[in-house]
Amino acid sequence: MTNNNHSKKFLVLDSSTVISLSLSELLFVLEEIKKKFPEIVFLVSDDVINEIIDRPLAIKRFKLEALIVKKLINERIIEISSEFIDKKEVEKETSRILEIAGTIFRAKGEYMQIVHRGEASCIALYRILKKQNEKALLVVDERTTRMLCENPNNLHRLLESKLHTKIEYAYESADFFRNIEIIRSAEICAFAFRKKILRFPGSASENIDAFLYALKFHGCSISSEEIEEEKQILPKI
Amino acid sequence: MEKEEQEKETKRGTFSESKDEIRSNLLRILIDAKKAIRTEDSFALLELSNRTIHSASIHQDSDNIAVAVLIYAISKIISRTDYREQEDWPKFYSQFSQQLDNSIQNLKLKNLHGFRENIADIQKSIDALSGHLRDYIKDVFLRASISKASRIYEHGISMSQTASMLGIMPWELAEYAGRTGISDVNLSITQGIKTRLKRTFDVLG
Repeated sequence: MTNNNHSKKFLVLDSSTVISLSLSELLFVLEEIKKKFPEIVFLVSDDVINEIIDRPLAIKRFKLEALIVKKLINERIIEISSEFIDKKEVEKETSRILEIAGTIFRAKGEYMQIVHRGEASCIALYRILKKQNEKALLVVDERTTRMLCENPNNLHRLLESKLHTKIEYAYESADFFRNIEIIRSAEICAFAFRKKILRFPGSASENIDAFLYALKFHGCSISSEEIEEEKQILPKI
Repeated sequence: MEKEEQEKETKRGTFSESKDEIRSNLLRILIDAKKAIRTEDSFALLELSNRTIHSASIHQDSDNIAVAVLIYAISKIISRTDYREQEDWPKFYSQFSQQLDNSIQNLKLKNLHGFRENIADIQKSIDALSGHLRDYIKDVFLRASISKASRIYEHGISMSQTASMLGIMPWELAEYAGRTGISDVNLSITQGIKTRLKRTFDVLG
């Protein structure tokens, strides 16, 4: 990567983020953010491209959504990581992350693979960007990856309580995922709201309520409690 | 080691020693399912389907998942008496019952290959149906896959990993899971809103 990139701000998007934005009809927010803040780079990995474009293109139900995302890629609103980072480096780091993630939790003598290659590739991209001293955030709407990075103890407790079985937990391996800065589509839209990019008729509270619950009901793992708190905080920032 | 063992298992066509617990569990579940189908007890079938989800989440093996989806779908199908008025219903029911019996036999004989063929044949018998019944049942099976995926995601496996296991799109799972209370579980809240917003504005400006 060249020095020109140091002014850039990378948001590495997981497929869950693109999906919740798409299903909530809020993908336009990325385009509007990009117009006003061209230094912000929305980045996806090749594995995520497969999940958000290649596979849904083959299914009538989500074909339109896939084409809309493809349009954003063609217009470079969302960019593919191979434009910035060597594909082999991402693949190597992804495999390493998958291997480590697959050895953290063990039940009934079997290691559990709790994350997918797509999710691992986003973590890989983020880690490579940070090693290169780039400004970057990982944007993940699905719950498990976020819990793995931010509070693996909670993930351990969740697994044990749901599976009603003892889960062995290798917290030394979980340490690998520390210090990963994560936000969600909810925070991207909060940013857009504060910058007056995302505005609908009605009060601030109504707007925030509307877009956060839309994202929540379309897969963003944000709780009702967090939404109510955000409605109080965001207008004052 | 695990992957090597699975490959050997597939080549051998039988359940390995380490998978015998899975086999025994599946056998118990299918025997109970057969009884529940006979008495048209859809609630019992739902319970049986839920029992396989723990195992499916841990082992992530295709057999547990296929049986969880199958039993859940059948619980929905038998609760709909209007399906039985469809012309192809007797043919479907007869083929399904036969394949269920065959799968139980193959599990008893530890015949993995045979068991998997029986489960696949159930799918083929649906494809061979005509008209509305085929469409209804295919839809039920898709919804069953999505519903089971949501349960596995709720258990703590990631969205993409779960979608991949069940052979569905993450899009379908996101749509469904968003309407459940998964995100409202206290353990899911890993950082405060203020922290997350501050992080966002610190980086993006």
